Amino acid sequence: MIARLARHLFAANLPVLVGPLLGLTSVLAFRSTEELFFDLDEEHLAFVQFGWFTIGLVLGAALFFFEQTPANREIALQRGSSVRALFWSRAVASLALAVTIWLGALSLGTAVHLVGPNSALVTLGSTARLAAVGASTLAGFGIGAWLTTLRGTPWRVSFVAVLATGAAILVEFLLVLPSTPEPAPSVARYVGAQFALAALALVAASRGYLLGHDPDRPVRLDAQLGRAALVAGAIATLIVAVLPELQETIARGLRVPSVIGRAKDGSYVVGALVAPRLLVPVDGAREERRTPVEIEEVVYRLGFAPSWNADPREYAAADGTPIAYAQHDFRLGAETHRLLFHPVERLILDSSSGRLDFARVARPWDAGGDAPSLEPTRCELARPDGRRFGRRPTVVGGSHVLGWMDYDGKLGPLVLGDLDDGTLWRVHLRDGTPRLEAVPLPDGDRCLGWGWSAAVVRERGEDSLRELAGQLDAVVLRGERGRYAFDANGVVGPTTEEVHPWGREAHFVAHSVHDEDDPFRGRVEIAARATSPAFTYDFAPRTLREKLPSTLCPALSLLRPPIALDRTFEGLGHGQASRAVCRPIATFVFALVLAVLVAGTLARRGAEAARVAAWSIVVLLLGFPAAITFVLLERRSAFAPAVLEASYTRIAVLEGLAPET
Amino acid sequence: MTTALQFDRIVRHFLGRAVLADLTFQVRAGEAFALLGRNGSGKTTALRILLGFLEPHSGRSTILGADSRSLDPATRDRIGYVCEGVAHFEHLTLTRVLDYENATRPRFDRDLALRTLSRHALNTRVPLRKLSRGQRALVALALATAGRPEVLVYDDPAMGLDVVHRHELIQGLAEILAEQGIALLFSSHILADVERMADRVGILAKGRLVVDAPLDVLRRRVQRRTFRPKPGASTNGTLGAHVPCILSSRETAGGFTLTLVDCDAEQERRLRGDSEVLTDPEPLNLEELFVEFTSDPHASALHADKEVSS
Repeated sequence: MIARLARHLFAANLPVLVGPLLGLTSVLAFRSTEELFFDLDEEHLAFVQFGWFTIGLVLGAALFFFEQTPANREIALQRGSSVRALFWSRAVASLALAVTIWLGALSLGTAVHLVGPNSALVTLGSTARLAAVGASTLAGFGIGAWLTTLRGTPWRVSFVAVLATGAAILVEFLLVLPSTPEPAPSVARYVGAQFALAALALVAASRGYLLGHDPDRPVRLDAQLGRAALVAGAIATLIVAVLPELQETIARGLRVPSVIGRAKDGSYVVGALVAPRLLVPVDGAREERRTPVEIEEVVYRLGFAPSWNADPREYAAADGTPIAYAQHDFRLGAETHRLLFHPVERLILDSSSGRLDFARVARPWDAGGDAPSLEPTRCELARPDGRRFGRRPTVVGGSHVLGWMDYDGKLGPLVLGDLDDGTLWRVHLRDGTPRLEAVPLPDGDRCLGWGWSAAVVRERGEDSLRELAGQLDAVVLRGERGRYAFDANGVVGPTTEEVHPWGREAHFVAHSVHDEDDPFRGRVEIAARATSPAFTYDFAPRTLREKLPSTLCPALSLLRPPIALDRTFEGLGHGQASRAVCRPIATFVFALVLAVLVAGTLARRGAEAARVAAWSIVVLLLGFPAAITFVLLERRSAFAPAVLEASYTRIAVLEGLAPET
Repeated sequence: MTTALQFDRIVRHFLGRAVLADLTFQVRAGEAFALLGRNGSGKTTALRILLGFLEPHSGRSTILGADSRSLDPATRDRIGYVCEGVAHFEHLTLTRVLDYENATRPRFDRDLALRTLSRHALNTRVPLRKLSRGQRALVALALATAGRPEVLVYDDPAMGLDVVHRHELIQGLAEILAEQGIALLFSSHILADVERMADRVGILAKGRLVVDAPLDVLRRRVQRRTFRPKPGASTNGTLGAHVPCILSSRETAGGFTLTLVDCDAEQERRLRGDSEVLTDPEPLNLEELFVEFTSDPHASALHADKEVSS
């Protein structure tokens, strides 16, 4: 019977399949979508993932919404179908549609690209990654199905549904997007998470479907706890993701006075900057001295500091090594470094394989007719010595503009340094088959880093530093035993050239020391350099405008789930400020108060002891998110006693009219 | 006769308002029971509870001996159910509907359904949603009865139908009842249909079943009389106390129109003692009875008397 039901339902919803399948195939087959195979890991990843998730969400919601119509449900039930069979037959049929759309559209779209000019991009790996991201369809489907079980519920439950969806999408994104320096999730973990999310949501949907919608009876305790876990989890996820960011923002917003400047006489002044070199000083009580002071330079800006607990800030690089452009990138399954950023070519170091992944398209997607036409290719480049690349790659002479300068097709010499073992590698991309060639340092020296030649910079001026990208003749390599330079043929030889210090000469070192328990209190120490004296300033909220956020910020921490206080900071890249304003004891006390309130409310409504105990424990553990969940899910009407219209007295008149049985 | 279905002290409320309070009645095999009531009186709620689609807050209902909360497919197959205004999955054609029914209901007799439907010359190739309301109602009836049910539960079969369609439907239902001898529990607002079909009527008002009686018994025991009190006699707070059989009263130009229930000789004597004019008893039709039992008691002219007597 389930098979028959599923067959009927599948057939009935066939139009639902055809539309999205054709639409998605068209989208995937569109020329510009080749970019997905080329550059899925960049900004497209979240977009694609969101797209798949949304398709699943709509499909799950649409199909189950139809089935949740009370009349339909009753028709099926009256015909001998159990609620469980009805749900799962529906789920199987609908899931078959979702999977068909997911894999069908992907296969068809891929097939179209295979006969296109950039077919070299369509490799098994790139297709598999695209398919893996598509697993979000299943998660979306499960969530969509679950949402329909809330149909007909009050607006606040709909609100929860929106929250839950938001949280699910957020979790999805957190799984996909990079969270430096955390390792990226693997393909298996990602796809597994999608399946797990889909399974969890479908089981929850099945429970909701079995119970039906009856707002005038308490939801059975086990089912209610399941719903509570899902909803409280969703709210907690949102809070964990959003709250620390909010606290960070509040903490960053407190920056009056925000600036320490150095006056012409070398002394330091604290105040508010009103012009590039004009600062209105304040005294210890925050009273402004009306006369602005002209300063030589800004020494410290509180507002610009990432947090109080920032590393010592020095306005001069210690060794003059410029930043080699190696973008910390992301790919499902690996931590990657993007080594070449180019409209038509992409070179990524995949740390899991220790190899370079090279891809080239015929021409940039957004290029005009004069763009170069190259031979599309995709290949993996391994070191000729058989060893893997380490995790500290550098592009010698590179910067973030490398590649963009080469729009006309003339790519400069590309040399990669592996600072883990001190080797240098020339990358040949356009002269024959892409390959790597070792660049030896004299006497087997190891490369420790590189910088721009001080003489070249002196000659061209500091402003030319960015324009030097890709010019190996302006590079000075630092080895263990000396300095080296490239000659015109690209051969490395010893040199006496100095490495230019990045930036200007420093006069000071600013060092902030924050209060471990209070991000709004701290000390900035300006260490002396040359003739400048040392200076210390203690920051603390003094005015109402400063005290308000410094009070609000810790208060917000009460909203966090007590059992996940530490975890709220992990993996989300939140700074020290949000961690510092966390008050574990206060949060637990707050949760305890909420638990008592919840227990009292349930007891007054006449709920059974097990329900009172269960909710109390849940609220004690999860705190505010669980309390909100309680308000949303445990409706007063479910416990309300029936009110009879006592004035209706005539019924007694007809007692005994019914025939004897 | 055996009991086909039974409600036993069923209580159900919505948002704290009691829709069914202590609902108790039973329908025996071969009996047609009409459940009447104003809009929102709980008729559909009672039927849904009976079929296990809704749980009561207390009480128990059974159908064909099985608890409504745990009806198995075999028992459900012995029950025909037509819900208000819905025939089937409306995106399916009649042919597909018959396939579906044949696949999901072991007792379903496709030929019987076709025979029933052929009388109405329905196009079996169009989706149900394209049929008229009356045609859909006929389809629903044909489907429900083609399984040769032992109990037929029918929620407002003629709602929204025009006179011709209603006539066809009731005719068809009457034929099926006559042929198959099934127990019928139905709700309706069309009292003329009820008078044609029902053996017994139950009237729901304010959550309670205020009437449960065969129609002829009800007509015999509930009477209407015109009453004019003697000059100077007070009717406020005294008449009802003396004559508790007064169900309601309405003031008219010539006195009061009284509706009486089970007026015995003693109460007849008291009424005559207080009256200048008291007409002979007149029977009420079902519509008048329905209005008497479901209208607001506060509209009664002698309501104060009645309350005192209760």
